[in-house]
Amino acid sequence: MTLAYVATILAAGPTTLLLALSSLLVAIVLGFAAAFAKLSRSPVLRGAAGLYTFVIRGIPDLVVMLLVYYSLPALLNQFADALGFDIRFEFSPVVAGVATLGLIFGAYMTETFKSALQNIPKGQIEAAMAYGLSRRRLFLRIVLPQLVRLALPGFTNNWLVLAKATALVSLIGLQDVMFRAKGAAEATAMPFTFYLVAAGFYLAVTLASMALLVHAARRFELGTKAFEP
Amino acid sequence: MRTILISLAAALALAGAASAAEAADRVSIATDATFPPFESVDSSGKLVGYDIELMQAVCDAAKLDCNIFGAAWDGMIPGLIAGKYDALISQLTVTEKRRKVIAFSDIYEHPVFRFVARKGTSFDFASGGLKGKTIAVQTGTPMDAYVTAHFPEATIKRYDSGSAPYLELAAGRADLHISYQAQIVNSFLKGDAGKDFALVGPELTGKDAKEFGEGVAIAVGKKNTKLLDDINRGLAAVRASGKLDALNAKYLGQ
Repeated sequence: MTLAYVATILAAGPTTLLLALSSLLVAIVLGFAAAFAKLSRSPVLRGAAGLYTFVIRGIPDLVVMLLVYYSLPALLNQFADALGFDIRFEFSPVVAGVATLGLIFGAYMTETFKSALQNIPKGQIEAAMAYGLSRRRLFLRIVLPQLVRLALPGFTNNWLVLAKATALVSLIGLQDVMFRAKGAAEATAMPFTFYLVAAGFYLAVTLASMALLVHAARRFELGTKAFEP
Repeated sequence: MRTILISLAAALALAGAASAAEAADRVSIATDATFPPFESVDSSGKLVGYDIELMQAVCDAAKLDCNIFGAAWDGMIPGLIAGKYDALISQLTVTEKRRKVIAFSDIYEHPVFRFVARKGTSFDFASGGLKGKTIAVQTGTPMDAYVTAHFPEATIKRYDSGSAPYLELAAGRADLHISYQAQIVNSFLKGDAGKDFALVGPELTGKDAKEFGEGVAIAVGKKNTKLLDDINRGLAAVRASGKLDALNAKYLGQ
């Protein structure tokens, strides 16, 4: 019976991974947008991005999640009612989870991407422009490869924290690894066994991510050592 | 940016409309499946227990298409108020305070509450008699309200799960725990960890203290009178058919 519970818990693994990867995608998009906004010439964009990272980084993840899941739909519904629209907003735990984790880790990614962008030597950009490279090629050939290399350590950290933070979404009822582990623990009164299974799962995700990202880091480091002082 | 915002709004509106349409013909019922024998998950992840069987029987009798699913206890009542679920079944005690924000079906069970302690220990449950004793309870439950009101002299430790108090008892960090008698027997006394423990003190019900409420019922949103009528009709049919007595005997008999 214990083994059957273990299988049920691990069967929720894809849910947890899907949640983590979707959130990562949202976080990358938001992070890029906000990083460019922070470095832009427009004071409005700079202010908006600054406010976003300040507010999100200053509120506990759990609070943001509960606000998004319980309060935001209620607020939107009241708003829609007031405007006379007959629509009802309702977020499923998955949507609320992806939105929340994306929003939170987007703020952390912003800082990672911003400092990476700032650390790309200005001279290279000027040289590329002098050679008449189009903006697209400038970004793809000069900026992006270096951005990846510079941002990878911070990105790795953010990803590992994000993967573990998915456990929070079990609190709004998503049937992820953590939620199933809790169910099994309470049903059998054997909490240690099943929380250890959950711990093993998250550790495995971390190990796999590390292996993958260390490999990526090596590739992007290729040929850079010789030029460093 | 503008296009992104517009398409995002459209996607949200669609998601909203879709869930509203679904809610119209399907009754979504949340339960906190961490409270055996009333509601828990079996090893395949399926919901099982007294409340689950009862709810299914009520839905069948009232010809409702019900979807019972596990949710987290913390957000369940706020979720019902916000319209995330149509109903809740989770050994919910009917209290005046809860009646102010949600509607309850007819009461289907009058649970018995008991204390549990290590075998061979004795306690004085008279007023002031538990001085220096530690009572473990699940937070936010009628049991929590009861000991808080009646045993101010005791140290009360509150936990957010139903199983944590048993670990505290077994580890000797708490002297007493109070819960539904059927839950104590099923989750603890029947297992290995509970073999040195026994029920103590009087059998308590809603008649002994108002904190134990009027009984246990199914909760429905305040405005949803049609569903409440359907559920009450189903409940009456289940009671009349003898199915409720059978459930009581199966899960609550000693």
